[in-house]
Amino acid sequence: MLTNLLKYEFKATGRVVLPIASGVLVLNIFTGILSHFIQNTSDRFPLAGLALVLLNLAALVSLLVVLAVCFFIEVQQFYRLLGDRGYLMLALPVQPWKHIAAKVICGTAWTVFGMLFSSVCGALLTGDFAFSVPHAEDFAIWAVMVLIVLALIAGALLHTYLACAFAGQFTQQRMLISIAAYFVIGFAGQMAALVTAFFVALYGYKYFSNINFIGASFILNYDNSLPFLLLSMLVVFALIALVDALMWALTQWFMTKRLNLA
Amino acid sequence: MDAIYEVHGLTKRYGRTTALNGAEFSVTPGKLVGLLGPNGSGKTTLLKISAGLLTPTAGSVLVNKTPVGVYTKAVTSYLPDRMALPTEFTAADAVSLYNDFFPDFDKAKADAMLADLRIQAHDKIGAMSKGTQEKMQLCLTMSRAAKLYLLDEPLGGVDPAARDYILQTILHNYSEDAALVLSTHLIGDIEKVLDEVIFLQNGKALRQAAVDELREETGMSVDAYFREVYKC
Repeated sequence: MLTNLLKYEFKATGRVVLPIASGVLVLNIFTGILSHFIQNTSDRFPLAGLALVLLNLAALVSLLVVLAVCFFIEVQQFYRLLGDRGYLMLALPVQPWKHIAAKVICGTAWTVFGMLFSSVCGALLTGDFAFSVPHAEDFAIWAVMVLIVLALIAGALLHTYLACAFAGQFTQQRMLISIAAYFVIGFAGQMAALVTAFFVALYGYKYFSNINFIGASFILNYDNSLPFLLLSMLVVFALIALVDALMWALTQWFMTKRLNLA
Repeated sequence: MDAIYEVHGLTKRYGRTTALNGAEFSVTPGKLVGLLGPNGSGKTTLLKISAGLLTPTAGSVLVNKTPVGVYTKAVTSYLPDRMALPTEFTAADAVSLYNDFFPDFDKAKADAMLADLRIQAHDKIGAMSKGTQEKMQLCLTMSRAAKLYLLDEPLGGVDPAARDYILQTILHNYSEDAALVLSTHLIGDIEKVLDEVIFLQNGKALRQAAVDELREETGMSVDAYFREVYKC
């Protein structure tokens, strides 16, 4: 059933994202080509130079639009799940966690797509295709960094889902309550992070004080600090995953115990 | 015969407003039951809770002796009182969605019903008229071989000709061993096909009776009895 949900989720969101991305790609290719021919002629044709600057600005804004659409498309889908769309989707014989999973997976995939797409379009725009490829020795660090980024994206989505699910308890002003809940949850999260950081600093300084972080020597020289760095990154990932799990559990609780379709 | 649909002490409060207040009744298979009541009597809330779209404040709903959950959703075919199909979907997408998620969905039956309505597979739901959208949603709901059908105001907001089509679709497509509960205000139109009626008032099941018995006892049609009971 999760596979089926994912199929419909990607189909529904792809209908919006892909045409926008295609348009932006064409705009960026066009701008890149035009820049190549016009960039050295702005002295002779000042208006052409100005038009090119505006076109570049439009291309940059379009990249931000794609990024925003890729992230918010699943937020909108989740919000609609708790509204009219839920009359069909939540009446399907599917456990609530699968609905959340489908939205998180699809949202994370589109956000990653948006980031990669923007990078490619940025390269087309500037004509700079020098992507740095990480060394094989750095694989472990890159792998954990990718995991952290994915967990952060999923967390950002779950943060909005939780706010929407909370607002779903109310019969009116759901959008307003969702936005307010988003900021309240964010503030609570920041306070929790602050307290955690305080205790880590208070009790963990004696472990950290033995490590030399200066000059990023631990990356360049692969000295004894590498396992510690990896461990630290894994701890960070575990903490993010823990917060994600907490937000998921709360969202699922609202969807199972307090479901209240408008 | 064992009940397929049981409602026990069902209560739902929205803040200070009580939509359902200890509703209690049961429905046996093979019955076509009318859920009748004025606006705000709790019909939609009751059906939403039974379809798993709303959490009750107290009480329970059992479908085939099972509390509302994934199993009951698999054996209950629910028609909401609003358009729930995604408007960006084509007719084929909607049929495919039902086919993928409901094991009891009969695709051939759905295709035949949509062909009767002259709906093409590539037709966008958003481009259909409101009446056609409602008919399409009903066709999909009735193309399932469910144990329980819950239809919320299937006759509301459509013209008399469409009403006839909807009634015929309901009558010809629900299996005899299933129970069908439909809520409506338009009692005159459906009275002749109902086996039982449940009257809801202030969130309670005021009365549950066989239509023939009610007519015999009161000497009135169900429509007339409804007007008498809910007289303002």
